[in-house]
Order: sequence, then C-alpha cells, then structure tokens
Amino acid sequence: MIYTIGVICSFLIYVLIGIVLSRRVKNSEEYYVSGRNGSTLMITGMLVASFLSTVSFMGEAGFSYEGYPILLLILVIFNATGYVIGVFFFGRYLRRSKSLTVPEYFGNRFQSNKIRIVTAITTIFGISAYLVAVTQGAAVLLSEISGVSYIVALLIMWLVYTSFTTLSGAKGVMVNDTIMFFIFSLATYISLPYIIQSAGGFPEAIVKAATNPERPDLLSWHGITGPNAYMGEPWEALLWAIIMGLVWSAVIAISPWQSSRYLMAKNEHVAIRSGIWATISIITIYLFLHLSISAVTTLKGDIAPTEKVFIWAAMNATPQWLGIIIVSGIMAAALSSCASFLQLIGSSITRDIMEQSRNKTYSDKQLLRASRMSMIVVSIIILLIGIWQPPSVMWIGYFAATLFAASWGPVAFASVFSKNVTETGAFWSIIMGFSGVVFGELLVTFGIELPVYFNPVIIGVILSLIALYAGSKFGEISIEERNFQTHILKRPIEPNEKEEMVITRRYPGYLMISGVVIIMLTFIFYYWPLTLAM
Amino acid sequence: MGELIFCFGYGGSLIVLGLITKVFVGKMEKDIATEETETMDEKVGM
Repeated sequence: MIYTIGVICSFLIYVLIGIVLSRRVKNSEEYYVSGRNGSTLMITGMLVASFLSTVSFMGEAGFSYEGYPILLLILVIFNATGYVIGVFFFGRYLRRSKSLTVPEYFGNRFQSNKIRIVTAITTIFGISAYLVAVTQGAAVLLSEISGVSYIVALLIMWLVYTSFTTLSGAKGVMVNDTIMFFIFSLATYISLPYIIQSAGGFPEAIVKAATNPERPDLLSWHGITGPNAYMGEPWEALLWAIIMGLVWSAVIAISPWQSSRYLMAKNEHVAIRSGIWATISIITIYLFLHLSISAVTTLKGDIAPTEKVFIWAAMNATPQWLGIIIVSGIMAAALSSCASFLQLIGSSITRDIMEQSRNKTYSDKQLLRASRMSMIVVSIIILLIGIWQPPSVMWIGYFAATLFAASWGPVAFASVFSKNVTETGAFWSIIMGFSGVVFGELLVTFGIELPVYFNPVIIGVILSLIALYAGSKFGEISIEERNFQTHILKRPIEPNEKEEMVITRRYPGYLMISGVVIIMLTFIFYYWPLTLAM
Repeated sequence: MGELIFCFGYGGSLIVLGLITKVFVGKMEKDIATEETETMDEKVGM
C-alpha cells in the first residue's frame, strides 16, 4: 500500500507540473521545442530519461538476472558512445537547422515533402511500438505493487502521461524528465549498497553470485552459454553484444527521441555538454543496476517473470523508504519515455503529415489544437494495443530501436557530410532499411533461425547503404539542398563564445576522470570479488 | 582474462571518448580562430 501511495504522489506532481506549465505555452515553438532554451542539466535529464525506461529497468534487468549482467555491460560500452558520436556528427547540425521536428529537418535538407512524410511515418510506427512496450512494462509494475488489475494499471499510466504531455508539450516533458532523471538515478545508486548488504555484505554477495550453482558463469564476461542457454557459444554472445551495442549507439545518435532533444538546447555548447554528461550517466547507472541484479540472484533465484527482478529487490531487499524511491524511479523512467514518445508522435502527425499532405500551413493556435488532438487519439490507440498485445518489454523495444538504426542511420550521417546523396537515394535508403529489418524479423517469426552476424538490423543496414549509394546515382541535387547543407555545416558563433568555450574545454577531462573512477569501481566491486571466488 | 579486459574496457571507453572529444573540441576552437581571422581580413579589405 505504501508503495502505491508513493507512486500516486509522484504521479500527481507530474500532472500538476503539466497543468502549471501548460499556461506558459504561448506558441508552437514552446510546445514543440520548449522555446529552445534548455540548459545542460535539462537536456541531459531529457536525453537519459527518454532513453532509460522499463526496457532498461525491467526488460534488460530481467535478461541480466537470467545470466548476462556483464554481457549487457559490454553492450553498454558500445551503446554509450552514441551520445558523443551523435552530438558531434548529427545532433549539433540538426540543432543548427532550427527545425521543430526531425522529419522536418530531413524534408528541408533534401527539399522533399516525400522524405519528410516517409521519415514521419517511420517515426510514428517505430516509436508507437516502443511506446506500447514501455507502457506495458509500467502497467505490469503498477499492477504488481498496487494489486489492481493489469488493465486498470494500463489506464492509470495512460491517463498520467497523456495528461501532462498533451497539456504542456515539450515544456512539461523537459521539467518532468529532469525530475524523473534525478529520481531514478538516485534510486539506482543508493540501492546497490542495500541490496549487497541484504545478500550477505561485501564482498560475500558478489562472491556468492559468482559461485552460485544455479547460475554458473553468471559473472563471466559471456554469461551463461551452452545448448540450453539463450546464448550458444561465448563468441556468439560477444558478437551479439557488439552488434546490439553498435545498433543502440546508432539509435542514441540519430533516433528521433534522442536527437530531437538537441533541438531544445540553448546553444551548441549546451548540446555537446549534455551529450557528455548523458554518456557518463548511462555508463554509471548501468554498472550500479547490473551489479545490484547480480546480487539479487543469490537472494531469490526463481523470480518470474524475470522482468520483475528489480521491483522484487525494491520491495524485499531494501528499506521501505528506499523501496518507494526505487518503485517511483522505475515508474518515472517509464513515464518520461512515454511522454517523450507521445510528444514526438503528436508533433510528427500534425506538423509533418497533416500540414504537408494537405499542403497548408496552420496558424500557431491551430497547430497547438491539432497537436493536442492527435496526441490524444494516438494515446488511445496505444492503450488499445497495450490491452490486446501480451507484454514483451525488452524485445519490442529492441525491435523498434533497430528500425531507426537501419532506416535512418545511413541517411542521417550522409545528410550532413555527403555532397553526393540525392533525394532519390535518401528516400530508398529509408524504405529499404525499414523493409530489411521488418523482413528479417518476419523470417525469425516464421521460425527461420538467422545466425547472430545476420541479425535483421544488419540486413536492414546493408540494404539501406546499397539503396543510398545506388539511388544517389539518380536525380540531381538542387541549389536549395546545397545551400541548406552549407548552412548547417557553418558553426554559429555565440555572443559569449569565449566564455562558453572555456567551460566546454573542460568536458573531455570530465569524461577521462569519470573513466578512471569507473575502472576503479569495476575493479573493486566486480573483479576483486571474482578473484576471491576463483 | 576476459573479465579483466572488461574491467578496464568499461571505464576505459570513457577515457577513449574523452580523447576523441578533446580532438573535436580542439577543432571547434581552431574553426573559431579561422573564422575570426577571416572576418578581420574582410574588415581590413573593406
């Protein structure tokens, strides 16, 4: 009961913030990109909050509990690079375009409504799938802690995120995401010592996890492998982690729910600093989370479904006050992603599809009304799918993410740096990347086993690259396209450029110092206990 | 052995990213200096 009260209180705060901030939304720029005045803290909060969701705290936590905590952390080594790659190779150029949505950027870059609409459709399809997965995960959690049925939990979740997102748009999402970022970060960091204490103290808890006969190889670099395990051979496990890590890196770099956050940054320095803080946050949060999960395996080995492992730990292996923070933190991670996803879908439907297909420009007032209406309609459809479709938190999320990596990845980077890519090449690259992933997933659904190096996303990326190259042999690049590209390649100089640069210059040092601290933490909390277990 | 490599690789990835970022930030500074020189030259030319 106490957990339910804690969660409901946090829900009320988010909705209240949405109501208060909705009064400050005066025009579409404030609704879509929060007036482009986001600080480093807020953009970092949004980047991390929209990335971490129930996929991380439930889906991936469950996968880790099944026997792959270190393999998942190997995946994170590659995926976290996406923030630095993303901000330097795509995000800052996207910001310079002053677009309100990412499909608008693609449309303007290639001077093509067709490309704008196709990127908007992939945004709506891919993010909707992700939104379903995250909402379902949150509903499973709410139902578990409150005792209400799954359907009622789904309805409560829907009501909360739809209300504050629809009312306040990006403005409310930005403030709420930052608060949520603090809650779930705090929950993850503080939970580790308590969970380890419950599991027998340090280093015994990690030693026990490493020698647990129920899960041999749990803490080895490759996790549990063999004929009956999810991963066949250690090299296959490693290859899977590298491939998925690179895919997630691309997702972080170019996906609409990550790259669009840079559109809200006050200036380019803020975008770069946020990308760096987000990298450090992701690496640290994942390390703490998966060390905690490893310790939980020694407390209870039969949590089912495994997606509930962190929730079980919150309610059984930590003091009640911390349990409330953890449960509220997981809900916060879910809500923040749902809000960002819904806001992006609503913006794309109104601005990139309705306006473009009708070939008319809405006034600010019409745009705000249409955006709110489309968000409500989409959220109802998501709710119905959530009721009809059985929950599968991690794998639907992974499928949606791979869609963007394959269909947008090559075009996104080429749109900034290539002087040869044409509208035709970009269009077919998106279509073929998307189709490649769907085709690969269909093969898997029909029982055809694909080798790990021929993952559906690899099929999609290869097809996308071929289509980009071959398609760019057709069509011509207009002067407007060249001018747009020249414009985004020119770096804007801020009025206080020297002061901004002094601050930004310190950031590579922050990354390196964090790296040294993380090596020390990994060594103390993972490698040293492991040597004791050998 | 793999566990030890992971131990250094996990935090080490941040050190590598730090070095990469240092190069990018250094390039940004150079770009500004070049642009400022160009602007000065244009003004002198006028």
